[in-house]
Amino acid sequence: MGFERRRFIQRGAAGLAGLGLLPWSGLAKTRKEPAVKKETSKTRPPTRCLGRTGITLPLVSMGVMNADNPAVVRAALDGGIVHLDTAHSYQGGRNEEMIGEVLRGRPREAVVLSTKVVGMPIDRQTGLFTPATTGEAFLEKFELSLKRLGTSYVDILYLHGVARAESARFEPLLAALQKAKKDGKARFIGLTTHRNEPEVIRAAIAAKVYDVVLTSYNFRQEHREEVGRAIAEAAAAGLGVIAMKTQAGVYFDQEKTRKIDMKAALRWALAHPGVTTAIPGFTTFEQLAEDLEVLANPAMSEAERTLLNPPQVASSGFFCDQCGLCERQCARGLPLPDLMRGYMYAGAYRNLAAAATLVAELPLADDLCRECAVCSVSCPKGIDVPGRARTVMGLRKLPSSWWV
Amino acid sequence: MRFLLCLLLLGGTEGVTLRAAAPRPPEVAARTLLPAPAGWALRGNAGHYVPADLYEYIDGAAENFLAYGFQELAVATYERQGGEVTVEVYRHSDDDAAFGIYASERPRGGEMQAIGAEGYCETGLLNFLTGPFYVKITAFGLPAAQERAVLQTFAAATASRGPADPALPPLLAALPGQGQLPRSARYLRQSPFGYESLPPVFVADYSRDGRSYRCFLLTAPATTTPAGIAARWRQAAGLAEGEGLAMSWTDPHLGKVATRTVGRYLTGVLGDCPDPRPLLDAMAGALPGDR
Repeated sequence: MGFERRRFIQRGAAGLAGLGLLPWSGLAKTRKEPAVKKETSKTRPPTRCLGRTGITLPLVSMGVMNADNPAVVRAALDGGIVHLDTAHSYQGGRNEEMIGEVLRGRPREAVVLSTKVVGMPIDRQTGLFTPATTGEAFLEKFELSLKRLGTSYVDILYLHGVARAESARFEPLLAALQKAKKDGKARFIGLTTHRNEPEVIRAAIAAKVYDVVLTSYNFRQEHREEVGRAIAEAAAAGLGVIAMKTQAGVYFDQEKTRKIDMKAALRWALAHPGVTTAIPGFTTFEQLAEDLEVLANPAMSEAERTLLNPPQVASSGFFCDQCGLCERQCARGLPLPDLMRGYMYAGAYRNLAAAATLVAELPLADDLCRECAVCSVSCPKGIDVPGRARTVMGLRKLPSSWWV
Repeated sequence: MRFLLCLLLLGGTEGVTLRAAAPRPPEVAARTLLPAPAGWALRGNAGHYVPADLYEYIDGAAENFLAYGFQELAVATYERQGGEVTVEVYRHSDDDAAFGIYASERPRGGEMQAIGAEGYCETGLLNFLTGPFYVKITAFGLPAAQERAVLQTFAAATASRGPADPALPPLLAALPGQGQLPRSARYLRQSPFGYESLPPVFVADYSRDGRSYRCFLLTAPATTTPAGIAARWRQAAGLAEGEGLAMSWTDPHLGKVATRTVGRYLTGVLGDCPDPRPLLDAMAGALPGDR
């Protein structure tokens, strides 16, 4: 959707607001600083084209998933955001209903709307769909999503949460997506991924049916360069790429003492020319104001690049990225990421029950390192992996009655 | 104490900050609520998730749970003759937080269920609240005629293993009943109304004579006062000094706001209400005496 039509609509809306004929017309006349500035014709932000869809978007959109306040969504649209992203499962369906409430009274074509539906059932261990996974069930959920949203179509319908190449080309769901598009209920179709992203993105390219890919992409991903290459390949193949999880967990540490600069994190993801827009999940007017600053000026400064270097700390703390490198380095291929997770449960969350359950269920001998004279594991974050693994395995020796 | 002993026995306190904690009621693990209904077989092992990995189970929906103090999830799937039922038990930090996540997903429609503190049923699912637990039960592949009864059986079996006398948060009773839209009461735990500086809020929606508005109340933390919170709200909204009244103003995003201090509580009416005073009076009269 072009910007010209949207600016026309906003000028008309601004005029009506001045006459007090719109619900949001109760604006304070004098302020020290407006929390959110309305976009005007003099502040046109940069835009990019979403692959071959013909949709043009500002570089910042809204991931609505966490928001349950329609006033924030309205302020986002009034501030210049065009694209809203939600999903069938968010807040039990209430998220889609809230967006439907916001869209009432606005021209439908003024908003680029996407929703996501999960293919069910899915084997959560393998990430693969099962013979019981049907396109009919997928489309039933999608119909309910349209009803909640109060619209006859979405601009993008995604197959949600794809983690394997095989899942990206699962025929019953591909057929369902294509049917939704053919019936005019989805203008474009795509898939979303936040695991094995390079594999899934490349499978989406190869499938030759997807128009858009929504992928995790942020400065803290261990494999961010590979994700970046896959994004470039998708963009070259004509797919539109939208980035999510760009805010990288908001904090550098699990203890939430070292906050990441949110504008820098967002600008880092937008620096990739293959990314059309990002969908940060903001919930407050303060966060919206920050994101609108980036929308207006997405270029990253050198100072911001420095801000994204993790603070140097004496101890690596509890946080393990679950990158899996230790498991690959281990001569015996032990499930070390699981053991590191158990250590986090015990030490960071003080949840001994969770740690003990995890450790008890792993098929490991109590003395798991006895066969190795020297450990071959070296964690890039400096975590003492063998030490922590032996420590958390010690939970097996303690009475389970202590935490049941 | 057991935690300290565990750490000493395990031979290390590397990176662990030992700090005194306020006394808390003993935690009940989410998995202890998982039922064992007769005639149903558990598929594999029960799953378990904590804040760091909840997204692996419910993707982006995890963010909303984390905002409501999510602690752990125990999930089990049961099978019988081609049908399956999945029981998810989410444990949250406290009863108010569990109500918050439950109410955030509660539909305006659906059929209410007298289970736990409150529950509701829709096609293929039954969700309910009990103490700090939010329980979600879904059915798949069951004959339509049996589905409701099966869901209720599982719910009853799960609830019987939970808190003995579950109840909705007591402060909800202070929100005026007249004109309140059914199932609109919410607990907004993080950044209520879109402002980071506000503490958690109980709120409900109202409609009268074609006008829509909301009543809310919050408890001021020990570090500030209700008037201080109102001042902070006005500042966050970008209102100039002296604009409106100290306890009554027009928020640029939310519309008219009228507030009143009642002891440690800030009560208020938000939106298109012609006369908020009777509502503020009602809340003042209904709040607990230990203000």
